[in-house]
Amino acid sequence: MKISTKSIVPPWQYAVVLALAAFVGIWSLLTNSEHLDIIATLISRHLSVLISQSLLLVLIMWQVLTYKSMTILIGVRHKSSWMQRKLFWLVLTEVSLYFAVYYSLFIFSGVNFFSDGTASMGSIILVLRYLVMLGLGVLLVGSYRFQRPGVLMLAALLLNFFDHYWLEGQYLLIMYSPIYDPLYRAIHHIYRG
Amino acid sequence: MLKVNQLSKKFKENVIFSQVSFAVEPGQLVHISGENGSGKSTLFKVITGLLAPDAGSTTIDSGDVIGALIENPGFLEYETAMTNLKFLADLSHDFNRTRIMELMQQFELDPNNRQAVSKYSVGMRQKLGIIQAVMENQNIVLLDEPTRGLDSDSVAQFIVLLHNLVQANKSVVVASHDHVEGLNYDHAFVLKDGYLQDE
Repeated sequence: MKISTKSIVPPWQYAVVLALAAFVGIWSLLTNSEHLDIIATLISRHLSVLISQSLLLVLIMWQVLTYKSMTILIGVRHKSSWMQRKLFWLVLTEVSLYFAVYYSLFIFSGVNFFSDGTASMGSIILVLRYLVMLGLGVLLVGSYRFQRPGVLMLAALLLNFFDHYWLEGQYLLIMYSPIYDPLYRAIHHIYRG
Repeated sequence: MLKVNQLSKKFKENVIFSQVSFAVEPGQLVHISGENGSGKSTLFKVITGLLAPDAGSTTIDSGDVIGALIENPGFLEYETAMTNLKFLADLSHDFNRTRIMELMQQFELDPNNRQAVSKYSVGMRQKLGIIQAVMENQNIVLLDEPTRGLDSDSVAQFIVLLHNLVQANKSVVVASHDHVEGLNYDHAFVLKDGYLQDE
């Protein structure tokens, strides 16, 4: 009899991460083909935040909760810290994989990265988006011990939206380029894109 | 050998138990009885290190390994019983396929069953919980309400298992709110009002 070994993350779950990143990356490129700036294409759009990043957070939560049910059996074997380290690596791997695919789809499309603003500010925005998702993933790993995982899930989803709609929308994007400033857009009659 | 010395635990102002002391020698079978909510599970959690005591200590001999069934055991719900047991045994790098298959057959669980654990009955899950507590040759075994959900045949198999463990010089502590017919304990305690007393 062949006994299957339970890996912390089965390969199909990595495939889901790849599919999420590829779907939203391709969609962003196809629907923003007239304005090929990496920030305008990947960061200012809402779909990646609303759908794929939210689904990525839900996937991470589901993976953490899979092992949360075994905390006592794992704890009796003095492997709780080991398990949490594994889950941290899982978050690092999946978030890195997601953004590697999401960003590289644009990078390999062969256009200027930062046509609307400075490369330094644009790079900061790209890295910050990655770090925020990494932080939210680590927050979800806290569900392994925390008694109310639903609270952490809700907090992670809200912080994901907060980062995009408030931090990026109100400050970072405007610092990157004035075309994200509502007043500038009104003066110059920029209504979309 | 397991030595529990003056253990105390409270949650906020709610005292669960105070100054609990007992020892279990190799080859001894000890019973701790107590009503629901008397603190038996919490005592096991403190002994296994899942919870920190407010006072007191637990000591085991060098090389001793504790196995435990505490409360309703949780598993990887969408995996088979054997995959679950292998996952747990691999944590300790002590997967012994032959021993696990023997234990499963002893409890009339099919090692080749491809059914997910989520489909298991309460009794089948309880059997898995008992098996994981002894499958890595743990020499100190703590079993909290081990006969919950077991039918009479399974209780008989459980009694045989305990006899085998004691004969193999292992220290076994059973905590339950009732007595299991057919078990002869070396010591019997009752946990009442937060204190452990001889029964």
